[in-house]
Amino acid sequence: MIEHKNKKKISALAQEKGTWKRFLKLVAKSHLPYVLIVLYVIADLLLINVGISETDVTAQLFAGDTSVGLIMRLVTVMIINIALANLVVLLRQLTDTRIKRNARLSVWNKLLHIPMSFFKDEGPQEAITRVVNNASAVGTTLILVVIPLATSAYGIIASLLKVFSYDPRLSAILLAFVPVNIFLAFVTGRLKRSVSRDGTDVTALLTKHISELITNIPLAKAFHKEKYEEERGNKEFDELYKINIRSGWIDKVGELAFSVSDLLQTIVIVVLGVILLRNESITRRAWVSFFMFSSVVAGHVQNLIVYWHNSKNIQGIIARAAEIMDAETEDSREDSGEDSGEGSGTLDAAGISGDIKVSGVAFSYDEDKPILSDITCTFEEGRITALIGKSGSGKTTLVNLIDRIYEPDAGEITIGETGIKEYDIWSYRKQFAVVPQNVMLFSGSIRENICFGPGRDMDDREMSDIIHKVGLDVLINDLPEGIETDIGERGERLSGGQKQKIAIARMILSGANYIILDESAASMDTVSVGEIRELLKTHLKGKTVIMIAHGPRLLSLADNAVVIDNGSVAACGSMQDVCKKNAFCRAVMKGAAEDEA
Amino acid sequence: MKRESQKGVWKRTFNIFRQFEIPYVLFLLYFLLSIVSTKVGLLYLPYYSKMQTGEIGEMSTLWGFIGFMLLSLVVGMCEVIPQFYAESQVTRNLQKKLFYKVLHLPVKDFEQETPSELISRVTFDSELANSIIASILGFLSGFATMWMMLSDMSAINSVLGFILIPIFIYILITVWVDGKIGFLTRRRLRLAMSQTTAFFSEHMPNLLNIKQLGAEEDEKKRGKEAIEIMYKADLYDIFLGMITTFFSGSTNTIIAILVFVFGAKAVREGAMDVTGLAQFYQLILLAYGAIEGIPSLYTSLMCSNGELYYVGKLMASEEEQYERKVEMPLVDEDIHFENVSFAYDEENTLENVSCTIPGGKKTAIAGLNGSGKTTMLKLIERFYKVSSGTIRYGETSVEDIHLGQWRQNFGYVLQKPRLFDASIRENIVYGIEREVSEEEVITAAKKACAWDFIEKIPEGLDFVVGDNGCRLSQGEKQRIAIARAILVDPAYLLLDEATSNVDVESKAIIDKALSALMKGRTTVFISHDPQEIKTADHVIVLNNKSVEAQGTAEEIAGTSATLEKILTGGTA
Repeated sequence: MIEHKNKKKISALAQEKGTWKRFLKLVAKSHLPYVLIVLYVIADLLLINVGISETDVTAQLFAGDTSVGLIMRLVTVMIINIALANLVVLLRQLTDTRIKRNARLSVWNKLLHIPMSFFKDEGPQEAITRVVNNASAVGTTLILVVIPLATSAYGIIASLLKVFSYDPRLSAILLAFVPVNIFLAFVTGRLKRSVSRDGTDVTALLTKHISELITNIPLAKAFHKEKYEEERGNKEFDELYKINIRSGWIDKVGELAFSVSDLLQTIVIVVLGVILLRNESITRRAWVSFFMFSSVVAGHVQNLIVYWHNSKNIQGIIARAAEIMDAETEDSREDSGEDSGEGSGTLDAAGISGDIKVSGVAFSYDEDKPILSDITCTFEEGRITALIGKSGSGKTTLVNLIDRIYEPDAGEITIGETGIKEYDIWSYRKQFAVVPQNVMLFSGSIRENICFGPGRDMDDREMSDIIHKVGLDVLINDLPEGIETDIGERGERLSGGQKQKIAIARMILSGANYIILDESAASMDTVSVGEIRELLKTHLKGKTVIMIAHGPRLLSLADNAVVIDNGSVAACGSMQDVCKKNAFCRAVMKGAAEDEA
Repeated sequence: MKRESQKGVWKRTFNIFRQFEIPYVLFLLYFLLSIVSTKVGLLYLPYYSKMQTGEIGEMSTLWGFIGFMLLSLVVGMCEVIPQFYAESQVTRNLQKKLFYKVLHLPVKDFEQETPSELISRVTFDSELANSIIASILGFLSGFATMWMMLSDMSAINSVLGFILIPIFIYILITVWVDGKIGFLTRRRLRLAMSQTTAFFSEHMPNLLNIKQLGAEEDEKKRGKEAIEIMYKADLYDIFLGMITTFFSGSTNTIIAILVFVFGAKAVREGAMDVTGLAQFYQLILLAYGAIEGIPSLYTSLMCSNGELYYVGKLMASEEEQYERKVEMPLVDEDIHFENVSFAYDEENTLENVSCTIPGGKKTAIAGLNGSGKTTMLKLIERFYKVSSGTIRYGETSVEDIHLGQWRQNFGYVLQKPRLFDASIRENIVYGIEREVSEEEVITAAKKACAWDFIEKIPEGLDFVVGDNGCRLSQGEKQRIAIARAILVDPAYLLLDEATSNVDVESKAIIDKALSALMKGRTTVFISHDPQEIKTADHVIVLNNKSVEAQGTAEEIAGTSATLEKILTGGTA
């Protein structure tokens, strides 16, 4: 199975020391709720102080003072402690949620403006995960790492100072163990990570295999390969088990190391303390404090280590989030810090006109599979040009290049006499309307779906006008809620023909003069194809149209034709000429006689 | 949808545990060790308390302290090992069983869930079984050790034990509050979460279309709305959550206050000493942990029951039966549909369909979109079972014929083919059990008109096609799927618009190859193409869920309005 290049790219990034730098950049871009953060930090620090008081008073109790006054002080401190602790939790969660929301917004807005080439190595599914989950990386890091690191350090210092006030020697003993613990944690952490990093990668791969097996179950049933797939699946689960056991052992050994070192430290602390107490160098009160605070300090050090580990885990997530924030946008308006040589021009494309000329264009998505090597042809203004070729020959790729979804590796495309790169990319795309094979529809009303696009608001008259134009009035009148009817997830309640009509409605509404039709009538029944053909005949008049289709019924509307074969143009010119010269074109247009009108 | 009784759901959840192997010995070992561990902890306690209060006059105290600390560590480590082995085995065994169930689901049931739901059920939900087992074990061991703690406590001071009663009542209140609130927030949160994820999953994959339509600004607004919904649900969760946190978080404080207030009084009155107080405090914390096990068992069972609902449903689901009564006869029989009706949900997709698919001939199924053509193919393939009526193979009802054998004899080429993320070669040989020679693969590829593009790729047959063949175009994928079917050389062919995504030139060649393949073989194909329909020996026209006409194309040309439309292409 292939290992996606992108995965390698990400783990390399994650190891980069530049993570903190990247983190700070993300922080700067993230609109943090600074007031909340400050409140949270103050409350947390206060909490530490109150905690120390509580330990101190408890120590007094254990040292023998059971007077009513002391008990009252103890109860008061405990109540303040619990109230403050709850407040801290509240502030922490509010801050975290707020940061998550702001981060998600920035990442989402950014995602919309990144060029499609960014996504070619991964599916859109991963991109969704980024927005919904990983966008919170910044907030998580702040809440789970940066601030707790600071407050734990503060806690250690404050505790040591308290013990110091009883007896400096005891304080020195506690202090001595802090670096020992940190060093130990560092060493075990390193070992753990280097052993378990493979574990997570392998787990992800195994889960991917299992997902594929499950998705392809109908295929397995058709070939009666259930037994075979069961064995394949079981192997994956056995592998996952092995990984779980391995990581279980790694965890336990790590814990053992800690417990042993804890034990030894406790022994040393206790022995030293006992000696001092028996010499009467320290008071019982000092001893009790010392004993209690030793576990408080140990606790803070443990936390310090946990937060430090969290920072390691988060590296990967930050790398991914940063990749998006750093990525060049299509119009390179934001500072990406990378070479923005290509990118967008500044001319306003409104009202552009002229032939679309393609010269010497080459492009491939994947180095292993070149698609276009040398495309030179012209799409005449005001005419319908059929774009013909075998499947996989690059027709859709070519129109994506013309629409500036991707950029050619070589060659140039001009409209009129201007290179298309000179135009501002947003205004350029507005001049094009694309009617794709898979129409984008979402759960919302028919009205919302038709107006989707440049977001025009339409009054009812305009709306019924466009519905009539595309022949959807029959459908709409039948529906109880008419145009407000919900069309279901991804428009599942509509037929193929109805979906195309919505796409054509969008095309008409856009008012664009340049139209791209990409396999609009594939897998529709003949009646629907006929209806679509009539619509297009009416509404494509006078526009510059590039039409990709496989069947003669729509192609018979075309004036000109371009045939692509083997990465280059095999023939171009008027439909008549091309059919004379090119056998493939003839084959495609066979049977068009009945529709020629 | 029927509502199941609560009791029925409980029963089904517990039945989950009867259907896969549970490592009882390991769990028992863990349980026993955890009791030993608690006992060691109790023996350690007096020494620890002496340390806490500075009563360290004698060396024996120090040795006892160190000794028991060491023992506690050792037993603690031992305790955990059988636990994580047992839990990993539970996860693995349940995953395997769930995977088996999914593999054997009737196709109709399989299609009612999305693959991603099924995947998460198999890989993630299986972890939930462990939390039920853990709660039960926790409860039992808590219960078992409780009396040990009680006796130690009464040895120090028999009166103070009464504190446990208000604590227990307080815990019950906490659990009740937690349950009520938790249910509310969890539901709202889950709703918001799925709404938001649904929004992104409907819109994100269409980034290309968004750009083509210039809809970026529109999408920004919608995304913002979705994110706000998520945010509000989070806030709701936080504020309600604070109530729970407050109650459960404050239990320790309340225990401490009660113990110290009443305990200090007892010390002042001489009923016990300060070391006793320290020890008593620790004991009560331990006892609290044990008591908490009781109501928390209930909550966690309730939670897991809800979460395991779908796992339970999957475990209890029907399995496809492969063994029937008879083998598939070798003779090419006619396939008869006798008054067949089929309903996917509540509405019929096919109603009273009666027709014949003649053996050894090419049959075309024609009709407008939505008339039930694909359903008919799936019924022939026996992916679905008829709701009423019979399908016969010759004289025999198909239900009596071995299912696996039946499907192996039918080559089914779908409209949208599926490939594995593997090499072209591995995909082509998928249907074959035995070793296949390179020549056989190439021959099949040539017959499917796939060889010309495979040849052009540097890695050729070793080229890995990516997730569901994403590195190939639709037409290329389709040709690989056809090669796959050709290699199997099945007795029957079912083609569901097999050439709809392929360009005209390839289509013509594939049609030629398929027709050579179809000679003498019973073929059923769906097509919109008038040329293709005209080549069929027998045509079945579907309209409005039933058969409008059947016969040769010439025979029925005049009688079927639908066929007329299809052959002439509808409105002029």
